[in-house]
Amino acid sequence: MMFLLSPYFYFMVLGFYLISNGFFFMDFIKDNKVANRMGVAILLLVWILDTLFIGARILLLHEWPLFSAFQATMLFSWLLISLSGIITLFYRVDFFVFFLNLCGLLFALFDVMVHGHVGSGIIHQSDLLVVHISAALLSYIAFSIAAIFSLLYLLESYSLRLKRFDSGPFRRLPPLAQLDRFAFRASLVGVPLLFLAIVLGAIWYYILTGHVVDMDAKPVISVLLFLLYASYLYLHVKGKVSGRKAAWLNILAFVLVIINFLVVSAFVSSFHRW
Amino acid sequence: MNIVLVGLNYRSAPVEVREHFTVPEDELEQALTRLKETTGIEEAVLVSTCNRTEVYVIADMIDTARKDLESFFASISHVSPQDFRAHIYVYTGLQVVFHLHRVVTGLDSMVLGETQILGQVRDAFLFAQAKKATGHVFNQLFRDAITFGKRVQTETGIGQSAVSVSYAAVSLAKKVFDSLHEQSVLVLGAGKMADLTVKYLQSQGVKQLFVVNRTFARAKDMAEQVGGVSLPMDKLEEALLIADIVITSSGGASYLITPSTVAKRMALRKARPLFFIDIAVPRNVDPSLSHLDNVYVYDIDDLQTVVTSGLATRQQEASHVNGMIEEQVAAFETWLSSQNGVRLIASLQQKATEVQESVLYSLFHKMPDLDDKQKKIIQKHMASVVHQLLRDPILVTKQVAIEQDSALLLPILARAFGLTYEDAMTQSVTQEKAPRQTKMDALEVRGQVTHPVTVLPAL
Repeated sequence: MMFLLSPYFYFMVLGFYLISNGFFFMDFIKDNKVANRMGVAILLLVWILDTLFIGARILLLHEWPLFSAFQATMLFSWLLISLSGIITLFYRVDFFVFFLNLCGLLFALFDVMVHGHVGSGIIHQSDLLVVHISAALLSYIAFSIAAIFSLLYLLESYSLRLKRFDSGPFRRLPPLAQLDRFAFRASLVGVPLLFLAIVLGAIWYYILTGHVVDMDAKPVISVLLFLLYASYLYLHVKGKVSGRKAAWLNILAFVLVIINFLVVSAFVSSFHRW
Repeated sequence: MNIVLVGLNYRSAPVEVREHFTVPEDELEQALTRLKETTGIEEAVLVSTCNRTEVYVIADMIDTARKDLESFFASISHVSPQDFRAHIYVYTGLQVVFHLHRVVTGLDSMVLGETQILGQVRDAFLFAQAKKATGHVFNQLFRDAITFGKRVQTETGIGQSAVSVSYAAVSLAKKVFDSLHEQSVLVLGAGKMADLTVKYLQSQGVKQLFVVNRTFARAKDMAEQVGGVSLPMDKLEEALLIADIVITSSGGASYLITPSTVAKRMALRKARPLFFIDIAVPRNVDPSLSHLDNVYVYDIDDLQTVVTSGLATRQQEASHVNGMIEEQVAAFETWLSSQNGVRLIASLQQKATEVQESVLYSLFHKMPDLDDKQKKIIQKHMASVVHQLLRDPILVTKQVAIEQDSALLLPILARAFGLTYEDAMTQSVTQEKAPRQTKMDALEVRGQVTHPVTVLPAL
């Protein structure tokens, strides 16, 4: 059981995650169905190992996977794998699993590189903080999904525009209208969750310190992010931005999500360590 | 038991020959009855489409079946056999299995990979099954083939890519729009090619159709034909606000639709994409339009590229499907071989039952004082002895039946059991279920006698 808690086990999971993504990449480039199946099989293994890893930490160390950058990234990847499986069960979109898990993998690798070890979190945090972190994490997942649909939109749109009728994106992706709708809906889910996370974070900070949040990079960029996504939704509803422009806007907003989640927390913010 | 197929299709016979052999729907039952009642034919399925007429049968003798089926073809077409013999093909045994799998996957179709034929074969099989013209061999073969056909459609891309210009236009539109049911179509010009594309789009259930032409009277004619609304040429720009798909096939040397015209309209369309299919030569739509966001422009060469690419994809998938078919045929061959084992086992069990019943009959006559309970105990133990004695021979027979040299080994086994192999093979497995009148029937008193060995219809 102790092996499940060791960094070696986590690196093994990451290794399998990398191999799985390699197979999906092979399918994306070479249109290889066997590679796709291999990718799915290994991803399933990764999900099982990841579940064991998180489960062991909860059961043996009594650590909820929310109280450190490492834990949150680990949970984030686990949720992405689970979600990609659930979404694929209901509606299969080729390449979606690949990009979603590539996103999860990049987050996990970045975290390992920055923090360098399997870290522990601070236990016994308040319920308010738990809801704040959960809402933020879920909003990031929704934004990841939205960004991937936007990316698929752009891939298919360029295939159509450049008349690449042999390409995988042309042959295997659903209509542009659907991809655009999925990206919009995922953002629609993400925006209120992000709003909730910001408000709860501010309240928690006030309770803890007795001060209103100052001009720290983390709250500032989070609010910017909220405004950016809210504008995307507004412009989309009004029909003022659509097609490739909407997809680019969504992807741009997601770049800010990545910066906010990985860079700002680790290097810029003075109070928000992750 | 032999599987025989006699048929003709678009490759073996031109349409002027094929048209004589098409069996109308209301005559199918009669034709099938005729086949069913032919001596020596155990099972039959008749597939009749515009591109093929094929009769699949299970027959005692191949040559006789061939002659019978030629007579059948002569009767439905009123053409003498010597006039159509050059156009028909005959397959036997596993060739039939291979051919049927090629048919259901569309590999044998005029348009490679087309999916309609699978439904036609399924209907033909279900009809034959409903009319009790099929037995356990065709039930197995056709069910396997139909399931396989569906699998090929979902697992491979053989039926998905476009193989005609109209199909290509619609598949491109389907890459942009979620559903064509919500889209309006504008037709500019009234060319024949546009007509075909419009009809294909209509079959996909588009919402509304507008026709614009330089000569308004022609626009009106076409609109009436396709059930659309005609508009004069000066309403073209307004129509670009409503339409989602524009098909152009008008004459003229200069572009009728330019970026400046469309850019203005796009601002008012509120994010709705605009999709152009320009079939006209010279072109009606300025290709630089495709630089605008949400605007997609395709000309006749693009459509042709889609078709070429679609055909190449289908060809590529076809070789993959061929490999899958070979696996299917091998699996069916194993199943078919196992059926010879089933027949032999059935004969062995029948013989054992007869011996057992005969001994019991004699025993009960020699010991008339036995009560019902004693009789039952004796029967039970006798059945147990027979059952135990037969267990190993049955297992060996099952094993041998699926081995490669089963054709050689099964007759030897039959001889070892004191059975005639040929007689055993004529035994229909399904008919085994019918109750037999034996000596023991006379001894059966209110269900007290239990038959010790049940004849198994399948392994």
